[in-house]
Amino acid sequence: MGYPLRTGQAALWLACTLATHSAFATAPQNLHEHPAWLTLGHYHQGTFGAGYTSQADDPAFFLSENGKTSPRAELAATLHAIQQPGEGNDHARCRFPARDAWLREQLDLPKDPVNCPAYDEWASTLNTEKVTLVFAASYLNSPSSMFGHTFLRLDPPQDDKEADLLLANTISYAADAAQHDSELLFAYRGIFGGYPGITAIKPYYEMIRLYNDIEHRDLWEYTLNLSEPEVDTMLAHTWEIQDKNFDYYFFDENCAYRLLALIDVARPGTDLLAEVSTHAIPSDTVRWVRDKDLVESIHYRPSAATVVSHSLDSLPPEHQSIAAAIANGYVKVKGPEVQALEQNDKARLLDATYDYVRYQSEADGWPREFAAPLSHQLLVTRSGIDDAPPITPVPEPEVRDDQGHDTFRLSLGSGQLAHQEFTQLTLRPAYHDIVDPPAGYRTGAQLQFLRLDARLYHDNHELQVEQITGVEIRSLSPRNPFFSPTSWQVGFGGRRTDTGTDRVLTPYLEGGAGGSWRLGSKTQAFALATADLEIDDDIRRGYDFAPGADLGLLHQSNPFSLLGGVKTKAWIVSSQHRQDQLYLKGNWHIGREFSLFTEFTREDHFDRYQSTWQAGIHAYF
Amino acid sequence: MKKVIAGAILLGASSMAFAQPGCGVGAMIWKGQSGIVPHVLGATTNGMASQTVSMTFGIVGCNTNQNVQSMAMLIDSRGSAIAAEISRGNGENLDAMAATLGLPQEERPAFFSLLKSNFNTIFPSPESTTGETVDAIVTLMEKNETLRKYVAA
Repeated sequence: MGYPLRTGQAALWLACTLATHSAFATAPQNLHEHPAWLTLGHYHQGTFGAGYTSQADDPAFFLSENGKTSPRAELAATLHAIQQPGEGNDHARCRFPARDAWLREQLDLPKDPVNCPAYDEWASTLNTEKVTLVFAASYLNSPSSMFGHTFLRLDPPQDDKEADLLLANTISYAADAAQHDSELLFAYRGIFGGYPGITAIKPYYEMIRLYNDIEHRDLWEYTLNLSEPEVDTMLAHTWEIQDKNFDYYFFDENCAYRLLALIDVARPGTDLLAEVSTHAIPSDTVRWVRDKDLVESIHYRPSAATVVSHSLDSLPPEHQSIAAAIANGYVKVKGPEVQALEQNDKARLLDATYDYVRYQSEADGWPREFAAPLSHQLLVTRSGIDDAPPITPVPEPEVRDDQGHDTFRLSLGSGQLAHQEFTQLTLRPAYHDIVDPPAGYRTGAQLQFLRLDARLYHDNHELQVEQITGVEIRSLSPRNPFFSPTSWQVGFGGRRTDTGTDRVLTPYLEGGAGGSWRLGSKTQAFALATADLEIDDDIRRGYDFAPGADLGLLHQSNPFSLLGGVKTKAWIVSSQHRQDQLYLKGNWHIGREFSLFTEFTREDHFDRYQSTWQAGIHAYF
Repeated sequence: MKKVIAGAILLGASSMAFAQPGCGVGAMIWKGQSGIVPHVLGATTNGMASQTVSMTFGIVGCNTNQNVQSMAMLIDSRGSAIAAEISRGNGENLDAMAATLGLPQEERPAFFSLLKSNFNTIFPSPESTTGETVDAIVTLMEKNETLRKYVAA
């Protein structure tokens, strides 16, 4: 059926090719396999080394009909198009300025200037001298940002007196999710595809508002050492991909991934994308960029939460009490307690109280009717005090996120379960266990996923899967007079469960919520109400449910981490037994590359006592 | 001038569409426009920073320069930080605001102290809106011999 048509197409193609031969320069045989061309086209080789496919999911990104799968055809089409006479926004040279520049360089074509009004205005408005990779630290309370987020900031020339970094533009790549999609749908489509990814350009102050103020994430700014021509190439390629669709995937083709591609384009041969295997965690991508010597300088920008904690901590204790009293409406802004203060102390108190009220309005939704008049009074009073010295800036954390332990963990241990000896191997692709080396991670936070624990029992040489953790999230944040966050946890996967006669691998879902209180600078005590659900046909009624409680202590410091406590679960559907546990986990950290670990659990279940202990080593890659 | 208003223009890429030109900030229509003008102080947000914003600037109106529009956008986004920095007399958001207006470094201390001593005029009540705030700042500058030129329409 389609035969004559194809012949026709072929004839046409042949004609074009011939025309190209006669009038224009053509590409050498293998130029389309040049890494720079493959990077510009976002081409990747198939799993078995066969053929190339571009990750761009948008016909507008290609000049050849076969461009998606043929770098050769796309190169020929591009070469042809850029040599056509004319100019203006629709000309290929204006649509693909990075390809144009590269091909002209490679083939020694005349570099005649071309008039591209839209692109030229865009580039001059961006007014970029340097590029900074900005990393928004992880934030557990939203699944879409647990691993952190990265975007690029386009810094104006330093000698430009009218420029300001807050007004600089940023490039980010994000899933274009519909507002009304639930977090669950967001997670599903994020993992399996279905969201178009878009390149967005916004002023830096909007990003600061979003990440620093609303989500309370610290920002780390890594200024890259790209030269001016490299920056120009990056912008030219940004122009090529902006408004083009690249499907968005949470784990690999995510926000961080597309930015790595931009850096690869800017400095050919960098090949950051080669570092990406199954997933691109933003904090890992920062490490790769750092390890490729791309970073010139690093700057820390604390979140609103960090700033308010710092300004409250900087007050003497008796002033802290006054601040809390003002914020809660017990003391008036013009009250005698405030009037009695010396001017500079008063300024500091008013500043800290305003920061706190503003934080609570954003984070805790303090009612406007209360917060707005109070904020106004605080500022009016503060504006009457002149020349108060500013407080010391928030100290930069000693260890940055990218200096924390690597996120892949391999563990080897050996131990006993009710006097049966076993050797255990654990693979944990990401990200952080609450007892891992804490430097560079949020205190009290844990996020693990796709963790596999396998045991070999020595007696009968039986290899058993002990646990598969799909996702496990824990957030223990201490409460104090100013902040009262909820501590919570959630997890699912498969684990060995005791049916009374056997240990069977059972799907489970668990969660908990409660509070945590600081006992020392590195120690907190927590109390959580928990719920567990297990579903398996080996359980008498097919499933079992247990309300319970978990009371414990957590200590996290550079030399060691310790987690211990008691757990109780009342299995009320099938087994109708209480399961009580005493648990203790200790990790002794050797730098951030290794930890020696030991775990002990004493359990009372089905009216018998049973102990499990294990010791071994964790290695972080 | 073009450089400093970069922020304003480029927002177009994702979150904002420009309506017919010629009517200043009032012509910018935000996606998901709610029609509610937010208050600068104690603004409550639901995590959608720019979604709740609708910049219908009756007061700033159509006859203003682009720098003032850039300042308006900055105040709309960073209003509560800017209000605090005005009361303190310094800060990076205030510097960014001076940059949107094209104020050179040497004129900023005088500008900041003018704002500080007129805090009550700029924010007469907790209900001040972005538009009213911008208008008050522009009026203050117009009355000032050296600062007048930066807000000339």
